[in-house]
Amino acid sequence: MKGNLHDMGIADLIQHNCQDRKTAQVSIQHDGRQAVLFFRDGEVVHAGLEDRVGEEVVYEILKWEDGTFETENSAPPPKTTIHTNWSGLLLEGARRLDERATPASHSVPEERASPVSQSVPEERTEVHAMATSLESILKEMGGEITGFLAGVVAGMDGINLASHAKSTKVDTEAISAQMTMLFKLVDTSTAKLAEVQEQTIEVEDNLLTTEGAYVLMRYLPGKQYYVGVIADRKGGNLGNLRLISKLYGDRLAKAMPK
Amino acid sequence: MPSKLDTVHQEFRTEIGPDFFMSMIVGMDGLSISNNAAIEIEGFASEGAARMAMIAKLADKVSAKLGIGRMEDDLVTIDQGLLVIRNLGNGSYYWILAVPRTATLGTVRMLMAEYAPKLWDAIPR
Repeated sequence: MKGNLHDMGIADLIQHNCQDRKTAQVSIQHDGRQAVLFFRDGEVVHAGLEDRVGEEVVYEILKWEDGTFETENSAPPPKTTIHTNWSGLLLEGARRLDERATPASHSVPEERASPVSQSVPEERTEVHAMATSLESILKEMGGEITGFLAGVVAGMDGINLASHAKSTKVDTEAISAQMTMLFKLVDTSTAKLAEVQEQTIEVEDNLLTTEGAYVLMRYLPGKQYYVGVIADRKGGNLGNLRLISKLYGDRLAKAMPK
Repeated sequence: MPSKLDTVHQEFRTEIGPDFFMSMIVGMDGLSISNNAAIEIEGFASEGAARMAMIAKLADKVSAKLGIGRMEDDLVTIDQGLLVIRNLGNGSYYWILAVPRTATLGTVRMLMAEYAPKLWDAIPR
């Protein structure tokens, strides 16, 4: 498939290939430069531009608004240089584009920043709409959980898709990173045990109770993302936490990208 | 003759009733020192003990990193049941309990809170 970036932007290309769970190579030409993106089973696994590889290349080419592309289906990736899931890449790319576009970004030369601020690509607004929607659901959920301190929707790479905390002092990025480590270990440990028992075991959630807090992690359908909640032990209610997080987990799942 | 630890274990099993798969006391080294089971746990007794100890250790670290106090227990909900890993005493031993999904979680937690000090006291030192 060949096309023009005016008709289909880089974010759309990524979204299209990932949602169709493709294994493919996409070559992109822009201003005399050529970048390549490799997809494997619907995830971006490698990107290259001149002598650079990895996530930074994706963030760089998300700025390209004109040029051409060509897709070669079933082309195997030569290596894996990207481990972040595709929606996480797009979200981070959108965040960086926003940073460049804001007037506060004095370090960005005006002639480079202005095209971004003048036309906001549709795919960026979609990603932002999703994040905003998840955050508003988290906020609503927080209002119904007694002792609520913070809530996150994070990928199994530990990166937040959305977060909401009662206080701005709460570091939701650190919470997600720690929760994910624990949840991953729980999942792999039970999977290994299932192998020993020659069974299958599906983890649904993990609830850590400490002296000061309840920490709940619940998988969203597909198990690529989870909702995490921290509630104060004194003000919190375990039954309320489990029930509300389950109900809102379903709502969050519906707001996630398909 | 059963040890004091085995006796307390059996008391707990009697009290919790049919909502019971297995219970195990595991050291920080990941080795089980006592267990009581209503199901076949041959594979679980060795590998399960070690893996659950790994989870407990990481849960301890996560609690410390997040500044939310010491870990008391970790409850894993799986399709076939509930797995609870609870710190005993000074944290040098863990109590692993598996119960069916139909178990009354509130009762399980209440009984675990009651029996944790008894099990800790019964561990030979």
